Amino acid sequence: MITAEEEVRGRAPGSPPEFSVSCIDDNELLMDALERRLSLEAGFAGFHRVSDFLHAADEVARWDPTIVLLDIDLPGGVDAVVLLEELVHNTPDSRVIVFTGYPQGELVARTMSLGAWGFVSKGVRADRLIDAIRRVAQGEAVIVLED
Amino acid sequence: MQKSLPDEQFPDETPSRERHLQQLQRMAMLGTLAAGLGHDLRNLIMPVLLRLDVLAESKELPESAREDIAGIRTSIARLQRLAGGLRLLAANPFDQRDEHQLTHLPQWWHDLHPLVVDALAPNTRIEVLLPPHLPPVAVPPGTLAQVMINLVMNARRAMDDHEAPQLKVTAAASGTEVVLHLRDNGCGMDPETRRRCFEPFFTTRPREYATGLGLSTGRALMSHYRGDLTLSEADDTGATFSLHLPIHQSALGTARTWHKPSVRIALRDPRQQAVVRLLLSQRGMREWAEGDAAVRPDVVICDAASVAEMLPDGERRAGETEVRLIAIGEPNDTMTGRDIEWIASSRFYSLSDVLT
Repeated sequence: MITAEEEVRGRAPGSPPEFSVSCIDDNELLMDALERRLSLEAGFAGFHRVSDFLHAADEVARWDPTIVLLDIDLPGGVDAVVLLEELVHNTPDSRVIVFTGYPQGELVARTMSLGAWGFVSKGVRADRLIDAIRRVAQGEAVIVLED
Repeated sequence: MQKSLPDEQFPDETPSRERHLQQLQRMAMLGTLAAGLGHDLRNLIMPVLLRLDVLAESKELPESAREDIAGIRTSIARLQRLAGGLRLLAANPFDQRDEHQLTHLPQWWHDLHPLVVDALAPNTRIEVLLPPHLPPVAVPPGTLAQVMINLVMNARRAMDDHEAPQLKVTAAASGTEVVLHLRDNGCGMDPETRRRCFEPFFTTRPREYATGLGLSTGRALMSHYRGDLTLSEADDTGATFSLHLPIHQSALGTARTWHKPSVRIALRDPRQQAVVRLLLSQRGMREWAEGDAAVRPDVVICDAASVAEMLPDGERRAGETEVRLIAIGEPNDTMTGRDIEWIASSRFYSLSDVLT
């Protein structure tokens, strides 16, 4: 049985848990801004940008982050759903949050059933995204489709 | 029997039929473009919001700058909602998968509202009366959005010279359909226009600005989904168009008593819980919890392994249950794709069936 507590990693008594983020997205502006914003968060331990989408799962495995933020609309014919399956299989301890500008109920159910722990629309306030990253890092499953 | 859009409306290989097909292709193309634009806007808006949050964290910021940030946030929020509305227009009338889609009108209107506001003159008063528990209708949200935006743009033109333009949107369930009325207080129509407005190519505007296919295509699309688009009897002022939308079969028989069933979520996997909670809220269902005013929930959604535990003692002994149980998942903690997709699929709406 999965419990929130046993999944939380790097927690020291009285301090927020440490978390690192790997981002699989082709939007440089977004990644610059997200890294900057996360740098203000207590416990933030590092940000890694996946550069090669075709070998993203291997890259993430080397980095072994707490959270993987996965844009579902990747360029170059990369199927992000297949990539999600690889990530879940290769790095089960890294929790994937699917991030998309096109939130659809079917996609939520499909990706969560494949093993994603979060689903966040790009149409929400930025603090909802940060909150989702924090909560998933602490063992919650989070879906944020609108404010 | 499912009607076929072009054949039913235009039985022959007439120029009308061809032009209608062109019109549908145009709508599909514009819808794709609009949705793509909405997607790109969202990709650009999120970095702006993240940067604003970083800026707002600065302790040295003067109060006036904080007010500026709040103002920018307000504008961005509006842009974000507009981008969200654009994705609704992505519907392709030729996509056969749409046949299985349905629309929850209050949620649909919430998404469409920014586009409606933008399509109208800024001083237009919009009054909306959509009962929250309307049953779902068997028309895809995107198709309905395309038809509605077309009607709204017609209304705007009809209200161009009005000092206090007003648009009223109401809906009510009646028999096997929901009727959605759109009423404007514009210039109305003369008898000739009223008689011919659904004719293909009929338009009151200069030919270079209008194809005259908007209303006839809208009616054909509604007919395709076994609904209709009609014009109400002449009014003193303005015009009222009505969309007749068939209630989705899952909600038929419960339309009059469509209420928020209470559902207890007894699932162990947090991901299953999150998805089911989302689906319940989207369908206007209420989560039951211990201490709830209702003694027992209408439905329990539980793990397959814990079905027996979920039955009240008396029912376990008698071998029958008053509480409807929906068991999902394998008898372990792993959520399977098939299970959750089953919940997300239209068959989930059979939840309303089991309640009757």
